[in-house]
Amino acid sequence: MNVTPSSKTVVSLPTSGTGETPAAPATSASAGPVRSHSAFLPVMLFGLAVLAVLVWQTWLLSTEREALVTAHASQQQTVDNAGNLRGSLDTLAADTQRLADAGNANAALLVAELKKRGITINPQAAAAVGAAAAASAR
Amino acid sequence: MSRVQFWLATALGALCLVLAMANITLASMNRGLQGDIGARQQFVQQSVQLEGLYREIIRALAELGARHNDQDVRALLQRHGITYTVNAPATPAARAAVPAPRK
Repeated sequence: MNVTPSSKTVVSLPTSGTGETPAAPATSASAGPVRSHSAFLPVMLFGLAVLAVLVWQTWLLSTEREALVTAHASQQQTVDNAGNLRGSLDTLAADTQRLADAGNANAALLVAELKKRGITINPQAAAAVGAAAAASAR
Repeated sequence: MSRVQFWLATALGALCLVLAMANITLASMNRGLQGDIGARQQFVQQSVQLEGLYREIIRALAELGARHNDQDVRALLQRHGITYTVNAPATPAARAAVPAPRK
């Protein structure tokens, strides 16, 4: 393995028996070993986040429903009273109209006074409306 | 992803799906209940206005019936559970019958 400064250049290459390792190629020298990651962790994290939001929303909706059911139940007595009042008003008005139709002057006067104020009484419809009002109040 | 991880993720997804469907159902039911409560509230408010009219009709019928001694109107009101009494007007003779207070 001699390099002489003569005109003939002799280049000697290291042999494999010397223990020197050849340099790695330039392309693979910068990248590390490729590791494969499982998708389980991100999927679980995303799923847990969605689950938390859904549980919270369910709790909110359940609380809202309880309040609505309580409000609905507390309305019942008032609605019943209102339905009874409407039924009484309808039957009274219908009876007054029938009495006026039968020739009673006082009832006719009242019916005329109501008509002046824009309130007309239909005895046939009054009974049906009263029944419908009572039914809708239930 | 191992077999356990796969089933764990699947169970989580199924739970989320069930919860989402429950939320949709709950929201729909709540909206319906809110509408029902609003309609009943409106019904009550309208009935409060009608209560004044009801009282006015009764008062007018009672006054007319009492003024003209109308038995038909009295019977009509009685059928609705309403009775009235007519106070006799104070006459001079009745006033004279009242003993004068002692001094």
